[in-house]
Amino acid sequence: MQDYLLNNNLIGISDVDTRKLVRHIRTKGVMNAVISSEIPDEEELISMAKEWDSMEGLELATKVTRKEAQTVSSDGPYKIAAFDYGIKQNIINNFVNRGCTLRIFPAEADLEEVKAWNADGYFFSNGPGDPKASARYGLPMVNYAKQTGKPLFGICLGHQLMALSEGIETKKMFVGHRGANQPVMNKKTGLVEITTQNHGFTVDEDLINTDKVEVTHINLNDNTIEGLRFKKFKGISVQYHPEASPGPHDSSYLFDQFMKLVKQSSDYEEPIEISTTDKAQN
Amino acid sequence: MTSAIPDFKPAILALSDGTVVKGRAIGKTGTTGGELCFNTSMTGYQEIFTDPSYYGQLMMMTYPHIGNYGTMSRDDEARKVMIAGLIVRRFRMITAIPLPMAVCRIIYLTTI
Repeated sequence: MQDYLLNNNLIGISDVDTRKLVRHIRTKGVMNAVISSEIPDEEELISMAKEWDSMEGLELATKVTRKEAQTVSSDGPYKIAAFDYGIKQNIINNFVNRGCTLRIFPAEADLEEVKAWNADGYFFSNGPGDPKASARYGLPMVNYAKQTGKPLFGICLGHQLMALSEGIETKKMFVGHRGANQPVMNKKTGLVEITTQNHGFTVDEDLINTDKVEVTHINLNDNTIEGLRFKKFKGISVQYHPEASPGPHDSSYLFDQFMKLVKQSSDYEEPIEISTTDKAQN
Repeated sequence: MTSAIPDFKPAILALSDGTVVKGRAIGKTGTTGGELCFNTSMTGYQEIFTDPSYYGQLMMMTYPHIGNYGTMSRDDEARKVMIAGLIVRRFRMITAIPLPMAVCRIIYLTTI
């Protein structure tokens, strides 16, 4: 594992009381920090931590997005345009395993290229940074997708961009949600999913416009918004990670739900399967 | 192949509110910073380290043993590690050398 860290140029610190530090952050709120194995001056390190850029207002998706659009295919009949703001590999796997040909566009995609792809559905990925800072390049794509009449699906940052596109604000959380054990209730079914989460910003629950969205999922720990269904266009989005990786697979049905919307919108006709039971009855 | 356990080298974690914690350096020597986040997952550390949503953040794992099961390339969620730094309680410096599946099967069948 030391080799793994070295190969990835990762700096770290061990043998610290992580539980005490976590309780400290949960009381005081999220803050910046510095790790050093070369500077022994504590005052200098504290001052570096104070001066480090705050995550609020920080645009980071362009630092992790791919440089050019790429197609990943299962040779399936359904074309999805996915916007990469830091897309996780298992999200790509989930689409490909459901018969999709995915064209993954970079964060600052060329709209003409997106139009030319003529997708059956649009996906807005997870990613780092403040969603408001990604709105510059994210909202034009969300707004384009909305007017095509095809369904939209957003995860994490994608969910926040879709909310912002409907004029619903996002805000920074006191302490973010990061783990694989967050209970989320699906308000329609009443069922609770145990979910993987990773977010420091959230859709502001006090600024929800019920003419534009329906809140479909909520966090049972603190009532933060976990899922939305959009009323003015065919769109669903979740704050959490149905692709898990890591985490439980309780929420993978969301990919099936989106695919149902995609199939309804697509011109592709699925071949009718003739079951052997039907034949026997005839 | 695995490296020998490196000698103890001190490291410092300094928070912007003035809190200072001393520990042991792991990984590369240097200085890094960012928003200090914590993740409560007991497993899946490789997926967390390579999740692009964590770009620019320092990751503190609440599970006290990290590195105990090594890494596998198929668990990468992106082409490289995305976190800016790592904070852990106990770090498994050396992980067992992975055995081919065929060898694992032989060991299992002969020992049960």
